Amino acid sequence: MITTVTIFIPLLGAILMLLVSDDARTLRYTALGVAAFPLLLALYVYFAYRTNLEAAALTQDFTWIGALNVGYRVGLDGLGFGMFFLTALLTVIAVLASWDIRENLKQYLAILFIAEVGMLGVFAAQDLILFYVFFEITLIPMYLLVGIWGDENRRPAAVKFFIYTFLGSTVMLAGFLAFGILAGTYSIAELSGGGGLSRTAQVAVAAPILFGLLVKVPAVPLHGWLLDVYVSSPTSTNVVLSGVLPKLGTYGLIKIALPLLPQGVAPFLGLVAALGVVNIIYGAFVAFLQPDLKALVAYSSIATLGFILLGAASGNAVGLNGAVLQQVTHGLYSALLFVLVGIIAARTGTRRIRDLGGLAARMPWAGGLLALGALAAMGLPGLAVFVSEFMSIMGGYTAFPVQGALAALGIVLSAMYLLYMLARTIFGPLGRPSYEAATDAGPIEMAAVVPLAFLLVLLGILPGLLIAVQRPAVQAVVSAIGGS
Amino acid sequence: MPPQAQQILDALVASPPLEAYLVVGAIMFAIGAWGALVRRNAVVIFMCVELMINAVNLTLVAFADFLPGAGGLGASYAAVVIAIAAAEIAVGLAIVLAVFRSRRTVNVDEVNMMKG
Amino acid sequence: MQSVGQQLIITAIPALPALVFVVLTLFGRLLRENAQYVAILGVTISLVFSAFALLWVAGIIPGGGQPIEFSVTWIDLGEGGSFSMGVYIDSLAAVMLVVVCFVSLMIQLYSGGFMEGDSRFAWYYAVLNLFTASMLGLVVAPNFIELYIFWELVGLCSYLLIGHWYEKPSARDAAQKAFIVTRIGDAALFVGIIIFWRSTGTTTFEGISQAAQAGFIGGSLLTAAVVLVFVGAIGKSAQFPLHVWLPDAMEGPTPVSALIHAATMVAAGVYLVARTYDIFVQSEGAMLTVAYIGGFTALMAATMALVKKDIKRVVAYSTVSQLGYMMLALGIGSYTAGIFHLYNHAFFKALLFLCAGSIIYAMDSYNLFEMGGLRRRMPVTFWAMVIAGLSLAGIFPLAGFWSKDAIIASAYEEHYYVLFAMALLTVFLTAFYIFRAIFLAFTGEPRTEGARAAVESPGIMTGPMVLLAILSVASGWVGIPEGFGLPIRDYFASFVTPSGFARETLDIHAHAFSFTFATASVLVGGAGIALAYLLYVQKPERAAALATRFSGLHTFLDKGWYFDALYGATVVRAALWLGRFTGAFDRRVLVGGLTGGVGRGVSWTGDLLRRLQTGGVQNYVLFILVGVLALGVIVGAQYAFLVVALIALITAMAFAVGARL
Repeated sequence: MITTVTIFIPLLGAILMLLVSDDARTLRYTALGVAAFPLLLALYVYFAYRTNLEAAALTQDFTWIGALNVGYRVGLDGLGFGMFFLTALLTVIAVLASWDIRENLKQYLAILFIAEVGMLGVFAAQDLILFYVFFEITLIPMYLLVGIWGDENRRPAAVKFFIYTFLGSTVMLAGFLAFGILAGTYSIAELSGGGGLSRTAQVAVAAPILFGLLVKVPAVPLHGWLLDVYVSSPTSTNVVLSGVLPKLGTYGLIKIALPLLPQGVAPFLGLVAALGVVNIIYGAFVAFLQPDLKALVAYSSIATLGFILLGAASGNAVGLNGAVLQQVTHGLYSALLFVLVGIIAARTGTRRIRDLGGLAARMPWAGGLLALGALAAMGLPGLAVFVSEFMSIMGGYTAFPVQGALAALGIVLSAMYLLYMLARTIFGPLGRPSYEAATDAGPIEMAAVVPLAFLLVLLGILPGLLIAVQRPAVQAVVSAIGGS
Repeated sequence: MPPQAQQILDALVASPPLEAYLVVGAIMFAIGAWGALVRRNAVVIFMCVELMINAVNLTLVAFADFLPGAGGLGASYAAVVIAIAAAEIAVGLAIVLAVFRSRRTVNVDEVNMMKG
Repeated sequence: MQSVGQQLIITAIPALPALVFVVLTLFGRLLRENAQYVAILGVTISLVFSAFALLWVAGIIPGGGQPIEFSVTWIDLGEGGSFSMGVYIDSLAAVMLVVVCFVSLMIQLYSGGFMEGDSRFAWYYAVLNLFTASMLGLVVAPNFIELYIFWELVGLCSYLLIGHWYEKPSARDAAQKAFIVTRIGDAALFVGIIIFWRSTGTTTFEGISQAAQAGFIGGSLLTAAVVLVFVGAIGKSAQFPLHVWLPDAMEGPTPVSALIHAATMVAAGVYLVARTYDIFVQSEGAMLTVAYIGGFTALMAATMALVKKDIKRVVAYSTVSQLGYMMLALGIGSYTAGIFHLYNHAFFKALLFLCAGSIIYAMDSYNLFEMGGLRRRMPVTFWAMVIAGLSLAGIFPLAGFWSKDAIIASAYEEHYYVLFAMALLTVFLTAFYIFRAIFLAFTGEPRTEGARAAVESPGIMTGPMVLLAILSVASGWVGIPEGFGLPIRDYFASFVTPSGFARETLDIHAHAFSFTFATASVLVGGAGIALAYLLYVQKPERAAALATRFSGLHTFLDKGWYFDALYGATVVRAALWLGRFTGAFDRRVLVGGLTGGVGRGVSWTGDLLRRLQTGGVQNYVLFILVGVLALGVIVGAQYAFLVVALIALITAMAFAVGARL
């Protein structure tokens, strides 16, 4: 029941947004209040049920379409909890980051909340069709958020985003339907281990599902939609767009493709790991000379997501734990960087790296946190991304030595492009005389970035806080795959 | 009365078989479809559509009579169809009138504003 | 050591500076210049605790005498294994702890004067303490993962401190270079770690060593893994071919150079090899690699130092060279001598940097040729630098003599004649370049106004220098070989020893102290000093004449053997090209071509389908009918005749419409 309530509170919030007065201040603080609810509930779940996520209080299971054995089955498990929590957190951050949105604020917030319903739902769905439904519920709001509130290039970007991810998810749905029809149920729990499908059938079903998920991640070379969308979005949308949406793909990989179709995905795992490595290396090189700060962060995101693919493909406990954790840590750092890029662009009026410089002296907190985010992105120990990355690489190396060893190259490459970026934005001489007047991040902006930075450090030092929650579920996936 | 004539009379008096209704319905439907496809006058096309609807009604009622298990459900469907057909005519004719007012014609070939 | 209180004390050694870092980061703007007192308090307590650890491990405190060891699970993966965080302090680590805390304390005292008035004073102290904490954490790490964590963190602090004056593009670029070059080594180290982990299932040094002895990993894989770990050490300790970052790192504040780029962090590579010695000794190839890389680096860096004009760069190349010595010692199995040199070097090299810093503080110039005649104006600095120089040159009886002599002697006695020759030549060069710098700076007439106006640095700076000078003389006296004839024990050699396993594998036996080698090395060092005197005090014009006469060689050395140019033309350029290429490829082919292509495909299909939408009502009717009929065909497919009839009907209708249109 708690899960269902958490998922659908934002829907009420969306309606509430349309009912309260048009006053921007009222709207913003109401939205903040609404967004806080799922976060508080997620925190409550963490403290009350951390070791016992299967508790009846969290799960619900009733028939939805009886003839097809489709059910409204929701529940939290270790695989999804981290992202469930992160989604709730990032929505709060997104509301805080939406302070710079002035036009149609009411609608913006309402649509954001509808997107949150879908995102929360995906990470709690225990039924393939329900998973798909929530998966798609995120799509339209995101399309609208980018297409209406984005920059001048928003329309083509939004359309691209929609076509691609929709194409991917449709192919995925075909896989789901074939799977459900062959196995006679859509319940994820009942399908574990292959739902009685033969090896060939599993491979045939796994291929479209994997394709759909990889488009969503996105895995290079299926990432073409990403750049325009990330660059065109408003900061607030970027937070959820980069923090949560790619995880729909990776989470699907870990939650559905691996444990439900172990024999089906087996032939593809080497490829998925290789794609992960391609993401890591290719993303780093493309990021290297991007002129736009946001584009650089976007490609850095692609590179970091590669580690999730690698860890997930490894199929062993270390790699999978790393991948599941990396979903959260990637969300934390990329959201942090996007918000900070927004802050910097608001002060300097530009996102062109060439025109920036020396900002650390003018805005020590924003600059320092940008450095922290960049250091996190390059997997610096002490920050959370390191933990998940090293586990992903270790797991990946155990399963696929070549891919794993190549992934370690990412350690150098990420340092290369991120330090290059830092050197040209916050360090060096002041980019323009007008930056003398740049002020540091204000209280609302600090409220948006400090929690993310704090969690990056906290999870970097005590990763056990999340790993303890996800461990049993990951172990179950590992046993379903049949590995060790 | 010659036996042949008696036979014909019996056949006429006895309730016709299901097939008879279906054939009539099919012919009506075909005529309606043909007309809807080839006539240009919007009003005539409407009449043809009406013909098709009634063909379907005929089959529904016929089935209702010949399939006792259905409990006369077909007849009630027919009633629904009649009601909807009436509504459709009301809306449709209104559109035709509006088109006629603005274009001085009811020739459907000349009304193709929806061309993609 | 089992009691909780003792564990807390040990944990506090790295934790206190870390705490100071947090406090100074959050409240630095309030504390301002008072930040130094917080920092000094923290590191002093750490020093006391480190001394306690040393005394415990040495067995002087009752109950001690064995390594301190404890750990907690950091990441618990249940059946999937676990990673732990812990502490392992043996004699090696204990010595390092004290050295790090002591040098850090000296530097933090000194910085109070040197960095006075800096706009980011508190931040400077914060990072200095984060560095101290990370370095201490690195020293106590019992496993590779923990070591790697702190290994990277010291790199981060080095980055932040080199780039402390980031408004200067040169400082910013030097910081970036240092981080990236060392990260190449880090990546190699990481691959080495995962190779070990996959083969042995553990990351502890002890566990890997034992697993390798039991044959879980061996042959070329072991050598590869060990060499990869060594590449990590190469990066951190600025050995050939990854030494290029250290000279540039001199852009940082000078006290930082003294702490990080002389005494502690750069020694971490040497420390890593020593820490994992039991693993290294199992691969002969790896040991040889260590020895020859070390020997070559020692010689190469010494030649680069010969002609530098920048006083800090002379000292920096000297550091690279001395680290090469230590590597050489470890590589040939002379474990104790290598660590002994590491320990002595920390003091005299830190002192050299502080002296350089003192000059820079006095006259705001790094250029030796703008100095001159500083001896009378800065007597303390002069004498401190002479002591440090003598110690570096290995002149009897200063600290450097004892460890350097041990390395050279064992290179000969273990029959590594090439390395022996390299080492001896390096001694000569070392003595020459350091006294060249001293003579240029302190003797003769002042060459600029700045040099004429220079005054001695304040007591807060000279105090630590004097302390370090005393140690530069005396630190070596704890390790006077017993063969020397003095009635004191060789404490160091009996305390810091390789494990029994390493001794057995390498077949090490003690060598008697050889007066021949000692005399030879002192004579060679003395010759270097004499040459420097001849060239730079007696006839300075002769040095200039030599420089013009051999200008090709001079430029070659001054440019650091053109390593920067080489890397610039190859690696950097390749990376930039790849960045540009992939960027363009991505824009044109994947984003523009593939993604755009799908987009165009969709539009094209739409364009085709658009034509079906004629706007004619009757066409739509036809579509509906055809659609219904098609559905009927599919549903009623079992009645073949019906199918035929429907198809016929559709055809007829199509004809009808066609005729009609």
